[in-house]
Amino acid sequence: MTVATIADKEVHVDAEGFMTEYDEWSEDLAAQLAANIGIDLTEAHWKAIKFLRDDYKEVGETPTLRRVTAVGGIPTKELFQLFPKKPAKKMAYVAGLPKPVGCV
Amino acid sequence: MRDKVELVYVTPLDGAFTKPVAAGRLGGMLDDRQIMMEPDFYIERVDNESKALISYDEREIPFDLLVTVPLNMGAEFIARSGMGNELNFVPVDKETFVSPKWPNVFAIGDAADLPTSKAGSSAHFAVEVFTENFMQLARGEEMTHRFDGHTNCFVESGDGKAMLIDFNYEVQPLPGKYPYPVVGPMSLLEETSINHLGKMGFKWLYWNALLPGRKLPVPTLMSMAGKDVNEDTEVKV
Repeated sequence: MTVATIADKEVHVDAEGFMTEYDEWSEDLAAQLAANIGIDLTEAHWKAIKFLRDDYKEVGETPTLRRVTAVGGIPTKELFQLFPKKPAKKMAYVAGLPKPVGCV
Repeated sequence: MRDKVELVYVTPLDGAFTKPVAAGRLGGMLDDRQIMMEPDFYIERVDNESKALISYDEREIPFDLLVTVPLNMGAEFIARSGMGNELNFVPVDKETFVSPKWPNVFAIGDAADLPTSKAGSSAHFAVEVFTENFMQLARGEEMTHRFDGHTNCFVESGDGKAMLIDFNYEVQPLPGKYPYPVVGPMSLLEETSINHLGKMGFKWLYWNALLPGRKLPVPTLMSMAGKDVNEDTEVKV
């Protein structure tokens, strides 16, 4: 684990740059994280990010795309438009949560 | 024959191996076998007319022969009961299997939403913890046992070899020896013939020791003994 400076704040990140401490995240940080991957956050992005944050707090796991669609009510197609090519990974990155992984 | 066939491994994750240590050690396995990979692929539909997989972001992968792993979901009766999540698994505490909504409801094995593999080993270890806890509960005592997410499984890799992985909620698959440190005889996160023999031997053990309820010589909770922790600085022991 390393410490990175994002939006003038020191935060803990893993080797791929995903934040590792839930409480270090803020909306300002999210905007900077999104800018890092070329995304300008709109209301639609925020809806997805807020669902991820709330769901993680409740369940303790980063929700899958399927869950964001089924429970968060955002169509998968739309998630691909908002966070092109890699929505699961990009949403987790911006929301300051671990990326979705398999068991190996 | 093999050089006339093109194999493509398609996954919704960002690689075949997603945990850092496994990815570092095994990342070359697909290349070695000349298997191409298409990561971050979410299948929207299978077009049987043109014989292609089509993703939500309109990528297409043509196929002659398609082998799919269907989404692993819980039972339909869980959906009907209204107790399940979007995958028909009952949300429960990952250490005690108690539902946070209904304190008299437990879910284990393929019925539970535990954040670990839906592997037989995981269910087996979980049930050992559950049994101890449930007996305490029945006696009116506090439940003191906690499941750590311990799972292990063989991964057959061809040519008479297999890999073995052993992990829990906190500790990712690491290299080392299993079940005993140094002597093994099986090797973790490595392809060996002995691992394959271990898998074949487990078939016999499954029917003759595991199902009759005999205690196997492996710990219920994951052990760090035998694991090489140097590769992972974030290991929590």
